[in-house]
Amino acid sequence: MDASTTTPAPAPTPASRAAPAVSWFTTTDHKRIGLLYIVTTFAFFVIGGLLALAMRAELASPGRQFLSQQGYSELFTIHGTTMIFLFVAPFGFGLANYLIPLQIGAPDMAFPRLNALSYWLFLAGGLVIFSGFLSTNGAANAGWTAYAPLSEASRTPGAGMDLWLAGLLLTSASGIMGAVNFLTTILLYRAPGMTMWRLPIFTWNMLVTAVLILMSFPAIAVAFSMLLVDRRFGGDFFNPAGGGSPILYQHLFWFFGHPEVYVMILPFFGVITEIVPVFSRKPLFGYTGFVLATLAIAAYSMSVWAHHMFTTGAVDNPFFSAMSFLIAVPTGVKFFNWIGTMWGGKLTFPTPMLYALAFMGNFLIGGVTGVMVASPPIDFHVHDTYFVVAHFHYTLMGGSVFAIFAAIAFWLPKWTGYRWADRPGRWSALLLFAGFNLTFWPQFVLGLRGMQRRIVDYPASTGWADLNRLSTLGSLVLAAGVLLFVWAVWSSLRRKEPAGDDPWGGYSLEWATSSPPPEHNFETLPPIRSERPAFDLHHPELVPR
Amino acid sequence: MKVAVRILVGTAAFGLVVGAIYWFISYEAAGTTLLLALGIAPLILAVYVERDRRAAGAGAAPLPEDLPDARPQDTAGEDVGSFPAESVWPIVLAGASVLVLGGVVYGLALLVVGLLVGTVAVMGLMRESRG
Repeated sequence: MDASTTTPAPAPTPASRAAPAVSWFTTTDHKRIGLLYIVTTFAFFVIGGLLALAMRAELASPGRQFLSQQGYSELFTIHGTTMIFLFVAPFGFGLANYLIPLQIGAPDMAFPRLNALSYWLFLAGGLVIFSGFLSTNGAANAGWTAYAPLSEASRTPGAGMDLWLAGLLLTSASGIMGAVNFLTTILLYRAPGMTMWRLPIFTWNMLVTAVLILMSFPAIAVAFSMLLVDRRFGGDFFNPAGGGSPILYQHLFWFFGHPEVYVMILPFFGVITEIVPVFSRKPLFGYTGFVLATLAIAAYSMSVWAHHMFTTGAVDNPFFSAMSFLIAVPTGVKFFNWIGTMWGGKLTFPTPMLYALAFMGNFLIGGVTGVMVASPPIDFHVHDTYFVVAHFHYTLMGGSVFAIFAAIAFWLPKWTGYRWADRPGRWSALLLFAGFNLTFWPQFVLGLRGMQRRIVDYPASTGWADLNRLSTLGSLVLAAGVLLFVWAVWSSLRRKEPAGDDPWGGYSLEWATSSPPPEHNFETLPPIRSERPAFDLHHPELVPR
Repeated sequence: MKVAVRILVGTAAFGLVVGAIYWFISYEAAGTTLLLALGIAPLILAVYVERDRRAAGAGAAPLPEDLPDARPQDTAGEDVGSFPAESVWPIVLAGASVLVLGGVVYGLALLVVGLLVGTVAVMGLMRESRG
């Protein structure tokens, strides 16, 4: 403890003059912006989840229940858009906003006002997308991929699709600004002694995520702008009748879309890698290998986009297939790291660890089925079927969303100063795991039996009804698990049981400051001599001399 | 910063090599262009960062954050910039962006109002930065 020293003070800033409620609208504090992201994205998750429940209710039995084809198309379009653009990826931004300056010993993000602008652009984009429901022809209904020419004005008329494009242009701008901020902060605002090879894994993964965003988001901003020009100003970029190319849209979309998958997963690999060592009471096994594997995943992820286009016949399938197989190798390295960390460790199983273990099981299934669809012969068979729906839900919901729940349980004591309500939290993990697998496992089988995605109805003669009913039942269990998790959060906030600065025995620097942290994060900054500065601070007897 | 340059150069090399391989096995233009762009974009960043690093002087001492045995007090008194407590302009600028894009969908009037509000917000941000 005696090694603690005063942190370099930032230049004095005027205290907030605004009323407490108004100050949330004008704040530039990275912690408040992080919490704004986290609360907003979770609200979007609940809305997107309700849309999914409506779809599952419609599909529970053959025949139309209560949705029209148009209504169903709007629901799956906005569900996908919400979960991808308004929940999973920006939740990572929320965590990064809160954690990066704390983990590297910085007083704030490099560009606080740009940071606030990123958040408000993200929220504005989300609201603009949802405002489509109020337009004459309803919300966008061309799927979250909005393939041209389906998304052109002649086939998807009305302002809903335009508002969708406008909203996503706003969220893309928000993402690019956020990435610039993360990159600058991590490279230039690290505390003395916080070398790159001592960065917490979450921060490392956010650095790589930021690079991926800067490489891929401009492609989608360009594609959406071109589509908007086609729709509003009579352009022909993607209109074959006018000499345009729909395949070009797919290239631009997936040049963004596949790295986006890793934008949605790398931050949560980071979350799991923060949690597993803490509850194994061991340092991370293979820190350097883990970082190199992350860099390899990022590089490969930029060169596999056309595996989404195998069936177009317009790309070199063997090349993109081989690259897609290769990306499984560095991903497998991460599993090796996590298992090596737990091996021989003193394991405990509070809520964050249970969610982390569930993440590993689910993501493994998502990853293995990803290798399957990376093979063109299999992809030709299951393309646009429920097999693919199940595959990406295993990676993004079973993976990223479980990691999000783990992150909330793990860091809520740091955000609020209150202890996590572990009992309902653990039950929610079990319920969610059961509900998730009950919902999505049957969809693998449905896909193999030929059920296409994005259909509002199916004939009874297909024999798909029983598995669909099972999947719908699973979605209700899953919803109950989410409700129980929300109850756990509510319970933690209501009981107000003080958590202390470091309730879990954490390793990275955020556990070396108070809960919640002071305005500029640290009253005193400990010396940084390893990847586990908070552990070193709290256990000086174990620090090698 | 050396690590940043290495990451960028590594990404650039990967994009250029993979782009060249893809061209010679497929002769497919769109994919090749995107893969080569993957090589060129980080190269531009790498050159910029490396130039900046060299401008600091070849003999310049390494930064405290790059020294494994640096102590927190090593940077005591160093100017780390100012961190504004609050600003109303980000939310105003976001609102203006909605108006501009709304103008593309619903007509010129919204676009003009959006541009005016956006200009005021940018000027507000500039004034704050100078202040």
